[in-house]
Amino acid sequence: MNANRSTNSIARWQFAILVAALLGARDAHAYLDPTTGSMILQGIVGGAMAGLFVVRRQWAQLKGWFSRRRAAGTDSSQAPSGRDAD
Amino acid sequence: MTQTRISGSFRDPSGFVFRHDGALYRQVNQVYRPHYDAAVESGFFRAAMDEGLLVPHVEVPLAQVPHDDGASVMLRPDELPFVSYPYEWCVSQLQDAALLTLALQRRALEHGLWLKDASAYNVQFVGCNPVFIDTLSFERYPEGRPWVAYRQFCMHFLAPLALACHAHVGLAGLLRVNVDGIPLDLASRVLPWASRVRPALLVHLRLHAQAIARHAQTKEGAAVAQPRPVSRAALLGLVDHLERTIRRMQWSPAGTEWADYYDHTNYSAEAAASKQALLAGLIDELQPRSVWDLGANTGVFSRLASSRGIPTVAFDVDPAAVERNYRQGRKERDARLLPLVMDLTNPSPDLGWDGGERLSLAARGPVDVVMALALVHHLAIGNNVPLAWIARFLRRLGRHVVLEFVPKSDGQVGRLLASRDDIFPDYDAAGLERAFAAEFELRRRLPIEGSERLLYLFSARN
Repeated sequence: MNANRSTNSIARWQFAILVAALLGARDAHAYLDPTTGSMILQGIVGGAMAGLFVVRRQWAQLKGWFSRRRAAGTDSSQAPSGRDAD
Repeated sequence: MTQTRISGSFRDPSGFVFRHDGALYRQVNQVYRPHYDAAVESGFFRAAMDEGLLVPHVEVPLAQVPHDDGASVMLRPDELPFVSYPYEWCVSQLQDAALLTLALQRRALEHGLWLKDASAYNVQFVGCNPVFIDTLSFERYPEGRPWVAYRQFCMHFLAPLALACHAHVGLAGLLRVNVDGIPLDLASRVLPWASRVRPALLVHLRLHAQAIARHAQTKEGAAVAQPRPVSRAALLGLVDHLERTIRRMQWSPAGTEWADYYDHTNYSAEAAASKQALLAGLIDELQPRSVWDLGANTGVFSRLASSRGIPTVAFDVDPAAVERNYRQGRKERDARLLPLVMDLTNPSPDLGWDGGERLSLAARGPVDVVMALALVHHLAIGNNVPLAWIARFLRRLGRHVVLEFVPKSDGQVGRLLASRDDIFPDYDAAGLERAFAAEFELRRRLPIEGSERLLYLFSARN
């Protein structure tokens, strides 16, 4: 949240224009008010979420690779476990 | 030619749902057209419908149905056997609805789209299978934008689930009062400390509430802080995190309701078998198009109807019983039986804007057959409702009533009268028949063998 304050004002304007462009009129029909605070929170935690997501994906791939190695010799495919809600 | 807009369908300028000559249509407005085309061309609609996640629809020629100038495309979505609302769902139903929403958000992002809203009212149940019904919720994904529906998702799904699982299951009823989801500060305040500081809930509920409060526009002309761009990876990470948080929430009901209800009732094996056989016979004779089982508990007798392919709704006031009923139906992928939480002494009223957005229980009826098995004594004795009033109530809900009458001599009623005065001189079979005579014709009176109970069939007089 303090990122803007620490840059000089020209950079701040550039950033604001960039953000404004990104936030452009494309979703004019998003009739919901997302509220500023909610969007700001995502900006803060987004990086961590992205990181966690990547780590989890890599971990799942690693696990999959190991269990395929262990099951080498059989033809069994990995059956998805857990709920079917996805 | 009759055309009526479905009363809850007005907030989204993208389109609305209406009835014309009895059939259901969804008008897609021109403002939404680019998003609609993207959803079609990317293959998203096809994929989501094929996987059973999104309610199927077909396009119909615009000229076929009366429409206004804003219309661009006309759709005919599949109809649902029964409309239910999030405040009527058990914990697992709300959980599955949340997971379905997130699954669709993920699918949408894979196709260059996203959800512009995440209301629990976007989800309905066909039996025990959740399905997303708001086709126009999907829009082209604007790269870099934070998820506009994140707050709504937390209020509609995360907050009530957290309250039900960590505080008290009865709090899910707050969804009835807060029709646009439970405020995050309320949820955060009510949660016990230990839950409030779990990292996931801390971020999505407490910090979320604080961020919203801090940046709420309070002063005229005050500068609005600009949010940072949020990458697609971050959005997927957020969806992933929310999904894990919701999957981790398990409600384990404590208390006797979870134990075998039928141990506490006075059924001998003979009586249970007799009741089943008589009920099956009546259902086969009546051939109803739909059935409501009132006070269905875990749905043992509801399944007599649903197993015959009859769309059946099983209502019970006990969320633990409904939960158990739903978990079983979900395991079997039952598309006919829909369990719901309902307090018959205070059933769902008309709610929302102008009291017209969400329909009351009675407004969603009447159905062909209402089952009221071992129910009337709870209403008449447990709740002091006169028998004639019960008859009028049941008449509003169904054209035929299959009713199991439990007399005072039975232990169940004996228990209700154990600690109070017996002020019910007219509570007996004759009294019941007298009370129901104004609204119903008495068609059958069948004794349940091995007990003193009677199984009645009443049919509406008019």
